[in-house]
Amino acid sequence: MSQIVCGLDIGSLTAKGVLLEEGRLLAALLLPTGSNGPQTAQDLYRQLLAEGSMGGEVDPYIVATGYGRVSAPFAHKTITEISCHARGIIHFLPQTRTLIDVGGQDSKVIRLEEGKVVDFLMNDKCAAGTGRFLEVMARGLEVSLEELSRTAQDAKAEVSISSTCTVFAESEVVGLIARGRPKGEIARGVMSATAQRIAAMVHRLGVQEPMAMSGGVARNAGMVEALQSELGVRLWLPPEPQMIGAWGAALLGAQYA
Amino acid sequence: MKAVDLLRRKIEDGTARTLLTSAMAHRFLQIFARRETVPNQYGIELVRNAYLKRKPVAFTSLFFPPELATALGLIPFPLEVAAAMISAMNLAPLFLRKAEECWYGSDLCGFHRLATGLMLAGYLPQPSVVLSTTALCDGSHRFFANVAHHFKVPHLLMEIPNGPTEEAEEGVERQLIQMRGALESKLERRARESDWERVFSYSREQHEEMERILEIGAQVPSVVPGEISLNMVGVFYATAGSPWGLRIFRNWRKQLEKTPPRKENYRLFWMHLRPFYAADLFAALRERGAAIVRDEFSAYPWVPLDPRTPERSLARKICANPALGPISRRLAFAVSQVRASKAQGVIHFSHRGCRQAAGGAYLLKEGLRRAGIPCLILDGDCVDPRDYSLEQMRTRVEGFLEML
Ligand code: SF4
Repeated sequence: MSQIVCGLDIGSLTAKGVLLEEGRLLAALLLPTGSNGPQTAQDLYRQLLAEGSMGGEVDPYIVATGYGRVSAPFAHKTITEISCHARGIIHFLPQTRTLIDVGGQDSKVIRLEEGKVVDFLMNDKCAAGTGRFLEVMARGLEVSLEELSRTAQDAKAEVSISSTCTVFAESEVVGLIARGRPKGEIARGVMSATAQRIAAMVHRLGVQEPMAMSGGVARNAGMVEALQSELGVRLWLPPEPQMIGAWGAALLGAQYA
Repeated sequence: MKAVDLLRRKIEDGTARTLLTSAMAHRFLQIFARRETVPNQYGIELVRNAYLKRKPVAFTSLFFPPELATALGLIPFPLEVAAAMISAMNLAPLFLRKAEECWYGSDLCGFHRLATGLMLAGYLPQPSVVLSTTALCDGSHRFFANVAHHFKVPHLLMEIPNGPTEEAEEGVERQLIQMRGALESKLERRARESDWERVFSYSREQHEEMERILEIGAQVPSVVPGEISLNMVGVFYATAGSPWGLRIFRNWRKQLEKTPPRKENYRLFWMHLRPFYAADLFAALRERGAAIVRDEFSAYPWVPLDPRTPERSLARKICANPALGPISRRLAFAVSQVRASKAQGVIHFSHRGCRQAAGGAYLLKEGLRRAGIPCLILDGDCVDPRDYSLEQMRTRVEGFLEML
């Protein structure tokens, strides 16, 4: 019988899942995590099976990852996002030596050698440099995340955001609006500030190319641009960056099944 | 009910202060103590001796040689260890808030802030003297000076130079002679050669027990529960030279000899101290089969103590601390300990506000990497649980284990 594996990545904002059969994608799904993690994990799994036309009779090997990995007690194994993102990116870009993963509540830099994790760093327990920071700033500017990215890219100049603390940075943004600074320039300042924090983490582990980016924030073109200019390197983006953790979980599942 | 639970309840309802000085309450505690873990037994005994004023109390810093206090008939009461115990009992926020209400900044070392909170809340016994060194810790002399000021007692401070040179040892020896003189006149009691003989012999025997414990830890698989060893570190430093220090470590060694091996998938060497409140983090490590087989401070090099030259012996002991001096010394020691204990990786717990531990962490990590030893720097607070998130810590630690 062919091997079917399922990877579930239960993050702070979104839950992602992929179902693979012998390495071939059967289904991929993303749901908001909401307030009930265990329920979301169940729903995600069921919907994946339905989408992959699996019905109830197959029994895939399940690996859960992400902060909410404990919300999927039906998983056969839990593995951290560090290993899963690393495995996922290696599937799409085997030469990757540095992976930047920026998710909703944390950011990580992972150093890889010959496809193996040799070191990693995570942001301090603080929202600075994460998707949450961008979300709060977008709220302060009264724009969507997409608009935040677009206006930042269109802006010709930027204002500097000095506060690291998300709450203080939000009031700084509100103050800048009140002083009539264009939203685009503020948005660009927000992107730069976030990029600087992530770049500092990359520098701590050493800039090693090829460098790739995963996680939901990698879909934000303004943020990717800001990071590239801060680091002076080109970042490689996988097809669905936010699904990389789930891919990695499933691929690691295939090793353990 | 466990003794610590009883104590916690009494502190919370505000009746513990009276209980601490009641002989009857202490008799009860002693009964409870038999069912307690080894570090808690020490805590109970310390509290009994100090609060019942069996002998005059000397507040001491972690690296102050307790042998000097013991030989002079004082009870060494290590304030950082007391803070760690309060944190392990999950009572830290109560006392940290007390210190912060009185303007003690939250970026000060948590051990000092917590002990300050205990002092301000009236939970420390009255000392006769405060004894501290500048070994490793750059904040401690001001903290201890403040404590001495609060209790209106003398503060005797020893300045410790960096490293084990002949000159450094002579300097420390001179200060020890002066300190001993000052204490002898204050206490009107002299330490005779027979006192030193007794104290040093306990110290030596306790150290031998510790060496056997380290050997047990180095066995594969290890039987030493690392989370408890990390609780024992402070006890080891604080009780050197006392009969109960020897008893505690002898019992601990015997207990370990009877302990069946645990499931062991990973062997870790721990640097700096542990987060004392975070029992769940250590449970998560255990669940993964990660054994902390040795830690930086338990493996203190032995220096022979000669009762005929007590100050010189203690000076040598103080200067032998591998964490004194340039970071290369601490690194070389760590590498040798990792090899001796057959550990696969190092966790360095970088305690917030601690210049000596957190300050050199990156250089250590780099040096360990060059020696082929992976190292995880875990940032956190040893005693203040208010910023702690198990999930955050767990991801870092498990990610590291997966990397091994
Ligand atoms: S943790 Fe560091 S700052 Fe705090 S008492 Fe110990 S050495 Fe001093």
